[in-house]
Amino acid sequence: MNASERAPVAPPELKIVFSGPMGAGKTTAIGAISEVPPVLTDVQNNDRASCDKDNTTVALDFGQITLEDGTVVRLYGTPGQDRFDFMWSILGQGALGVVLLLDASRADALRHMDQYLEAFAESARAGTLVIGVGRTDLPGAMPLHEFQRRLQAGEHCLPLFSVDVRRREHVLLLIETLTCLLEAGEHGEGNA
Amino acid sequence: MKAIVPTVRRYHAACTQELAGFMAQSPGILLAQLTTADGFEVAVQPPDTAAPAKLAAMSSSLQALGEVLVTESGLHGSRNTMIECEDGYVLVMPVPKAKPALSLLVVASRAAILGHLLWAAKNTTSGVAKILANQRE
Repeated sequence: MNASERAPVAPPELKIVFSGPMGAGKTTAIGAISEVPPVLTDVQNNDRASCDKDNTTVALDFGQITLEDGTVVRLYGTPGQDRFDFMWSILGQGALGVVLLLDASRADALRHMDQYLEAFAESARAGTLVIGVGRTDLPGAMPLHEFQRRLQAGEHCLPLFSVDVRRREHVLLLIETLTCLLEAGEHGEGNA
Repeated sequence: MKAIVPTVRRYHAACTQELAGFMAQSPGILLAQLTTADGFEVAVQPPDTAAPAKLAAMSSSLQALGEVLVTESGLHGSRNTMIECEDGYVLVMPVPKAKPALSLLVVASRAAILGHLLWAAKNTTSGVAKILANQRE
């Protein structure tokens, strides 16, 4: 069989995990870019003291997007609450990169960043983790440079963006940055 | 019992009693726990169960995954999710029409008779549903 008769090569596929604390916008971000109806496991939130939102993810979110070069990116969102942290490692298996979403309007935003950088330490060390910080425009929000300073203090060199995850182009920026990092690092296999 | 969210705290005593009756009637049951759909424990038997918070979170994830898998498969009306393992069973069964949404988690050994387990679990979820309905009135 010559080259012209070979079966078509399947487009490359990537698995990316969206993680971050409850209310950071993981479900919204996946919904903003997924080309298939997202698979959601949202249920009623009974813990309004921790986060004042109607629903919360308890297992995973799933979406999919095809990039311009044909790469299919499978998007997995983790639950944000600590008691579901067993799902983080399950969903992280085989992931080539992580999008970490944070909420700058929360007083514990920097602690959250530290927590998730530790949870996804392998990706953070490998430089296959991108950080999107939301709600930076709200009064009293943590300024972006504080996140940057914290990253430098922890000797992390990771891309950091102010984002509105309701805007498709902002979420795509995070994905494209991550795919650039993956290409630059030539990461064949990964485990977030 | 830790971490009972206020919305379900008032059901704790009656639900604990319901679970105790379930365990007394059914052979092989090692654990019975009621959880909210977002992973908080409402009641558990035996009361000295280790790490009930983690089990509550895991059972709510399993329940949610089971429901979404049913829906994505073109089916509807998930009635329970059961895992059969070498030495027993794990069963998650939603409480019908519960507000807030609740599920029953059951861990049973091989001493359990599967048909009886499912029947008794269904009766228990119905009993819990009545408790919730009565306390709403």
